[in-house]
Amino acid sequence: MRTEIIGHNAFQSLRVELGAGERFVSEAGKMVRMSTTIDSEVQSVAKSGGIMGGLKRMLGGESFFFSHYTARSAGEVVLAPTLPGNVGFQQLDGRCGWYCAGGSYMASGPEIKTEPKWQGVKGMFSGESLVFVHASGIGPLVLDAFGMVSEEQVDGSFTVDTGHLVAFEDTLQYTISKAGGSWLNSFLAGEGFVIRFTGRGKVMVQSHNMKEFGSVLGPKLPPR
Amino acid sequence: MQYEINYEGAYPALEVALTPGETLVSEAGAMAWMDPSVDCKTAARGGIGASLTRGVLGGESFFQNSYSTTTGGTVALVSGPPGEIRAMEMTGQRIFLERGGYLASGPNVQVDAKFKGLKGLFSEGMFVLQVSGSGPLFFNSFGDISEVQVEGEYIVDNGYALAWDASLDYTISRTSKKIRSFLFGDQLVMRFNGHGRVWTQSRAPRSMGAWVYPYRRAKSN
Amino acid sequence: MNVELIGNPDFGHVRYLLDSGEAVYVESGAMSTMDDGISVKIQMLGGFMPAVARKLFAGESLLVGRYESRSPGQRLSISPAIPGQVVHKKLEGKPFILTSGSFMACTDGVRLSTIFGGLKAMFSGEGMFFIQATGTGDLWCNSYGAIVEKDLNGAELIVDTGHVVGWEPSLQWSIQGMGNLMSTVFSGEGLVMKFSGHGKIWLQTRSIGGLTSWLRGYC
Repeated sequence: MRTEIIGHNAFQSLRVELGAGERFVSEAGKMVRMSTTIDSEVQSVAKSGGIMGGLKRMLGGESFFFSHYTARSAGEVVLAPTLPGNVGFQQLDGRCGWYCAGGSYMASGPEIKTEPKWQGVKGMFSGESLVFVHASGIGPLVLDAFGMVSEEQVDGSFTVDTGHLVAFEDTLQYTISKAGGSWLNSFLAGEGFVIRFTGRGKVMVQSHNMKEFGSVLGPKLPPR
Repeated sequence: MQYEINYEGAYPALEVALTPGETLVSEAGAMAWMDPSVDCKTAARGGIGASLTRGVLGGESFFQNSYSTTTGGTVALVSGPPGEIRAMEMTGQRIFLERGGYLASGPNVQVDAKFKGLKGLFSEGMFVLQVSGSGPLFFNSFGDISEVQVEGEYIVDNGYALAWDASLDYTISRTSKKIRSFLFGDQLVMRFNGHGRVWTQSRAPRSMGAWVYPYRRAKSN
Repeated sequence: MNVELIGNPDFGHVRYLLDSGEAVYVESGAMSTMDDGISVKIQMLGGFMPAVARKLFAGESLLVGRYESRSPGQRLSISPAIPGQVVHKKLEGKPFILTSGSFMACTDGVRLSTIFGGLKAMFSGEGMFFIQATGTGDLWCNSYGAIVEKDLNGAELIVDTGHVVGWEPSLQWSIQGMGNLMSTVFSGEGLVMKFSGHGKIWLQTRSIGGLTSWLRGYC
């Protein structure tokens, strides 16, 4: 299996080359094109987990369904995010897992285990998702992003607006917090909730905020 | 006709320097700025029937604008979404273009709507635009455009196919034949066959439409 | 203060490195990441009434966050809601006019006020009010699409109202139809702005109206 990010800065996609018998998994509906030698099948939840797993995943902002690609003989699949921007990519080596923020899981290798993790009360305040998707194992993890993706090395503490968070290493601790000053200040500044990371680890952030973009466009479109 | 596609990146603009006698036809609403020496005329091009098919069925505007000048002047045209603008010289060939992909053309380029196929009925747009004639054609995408030379079979998701040569055969089908796949988020794909070019776009308008759904206001009743 | 403009023109955003006591005013909701040593205080730029007028008529946020650093070398990133180019303008006493939604951030010393565009602006589709930035300091603006600067130098230019980012007040402008009545009603451009005189104008290569009318086809 070989993965490659293709396309210009604003519109990256992921190309996955599969050898005979190799597999890959993505969120349903992400496929751009594929070779005629590849079979795709839609299942609820990666491999197992059943309907409950699917429900949890839905709460996490992820699509209910996954596409499983299997190569009969060598071929390729191209996957793309929904909005303009980069593709987030991490090669997991088993050292630590990653938490994917609501809606950011896009695809992964067959040896990556993904499971929704209920974040309890602190998750409820984020307004983003109640559930993060935890990815662990060895292989590629691909993330959907809006805008440019950058990696920040946290050593101490670091604050990220919930709408700009893509994923973070599970070695980090976090609290749902306020953007400096008081809760009132933070709320009035339009930065309702932020995530404050502490410890050591990597955080992947996106330059643009889907929620902000959606809030500009939504009212100008016909009612649903 | 002298033109440039300027401002590199995700948001280019088409700037056409018109000389007396030249006419540029465009989709309504595409003008960003122009010299006051450029005149704009709005009409249902090709008559009411052609405009109806193009507008209602093809998803383009019913009225089109014609830009011309008596002294020379520049007009800048842009598309709505982030994405590329491409120029193609039409020399009598025929291409199919997804709705929303047409930006502008010379006066001797014909644009009308064609039925895409029965299976397309359940997806975005039953109709595509058929472009023929001669002169420059300017089309636009959501995302980047790739030109693919098809020899044999080529499968692309329905939402990412932007344009293709009329010489290609195609069918629209599901990725897998299982009923369960159909019910749960499976995709419609276009299978091209034969020899010809396919232009793909790197983002799907339909996916963005689905993404924006929760941000739209709820109907008040 | 160390400022870096990143990602232009596709995904322009701004990264600040602030030392103790340094501060920027940021449009609400624009902060993306920051270090711990930065405090946020809510302010209404230009006093209460002008701020209310801005909110009601210019579509710009009523409140801005004042992000002030309390220790050296604190990082702050901000980004606009709409992807596009971010530009910096140094104000040195000469005012600059922005359309609503183009303001992103500024430093101390920049004064924002709402100016009434007159009845003609009511029909421009851009709202009745514009934002005038005066004073001395740094101003950061954003656009949807790439920003094109044109120096009119006595020439005239017709611009679709959705493509104007800002202009120098030395320019005159008027609202007019797009050719004859037929074109004004059906060209899809509606009313356009005609600029003339000497000065600079900033245009953007996409418009929100263009994006939403395209997206409507997929809703």
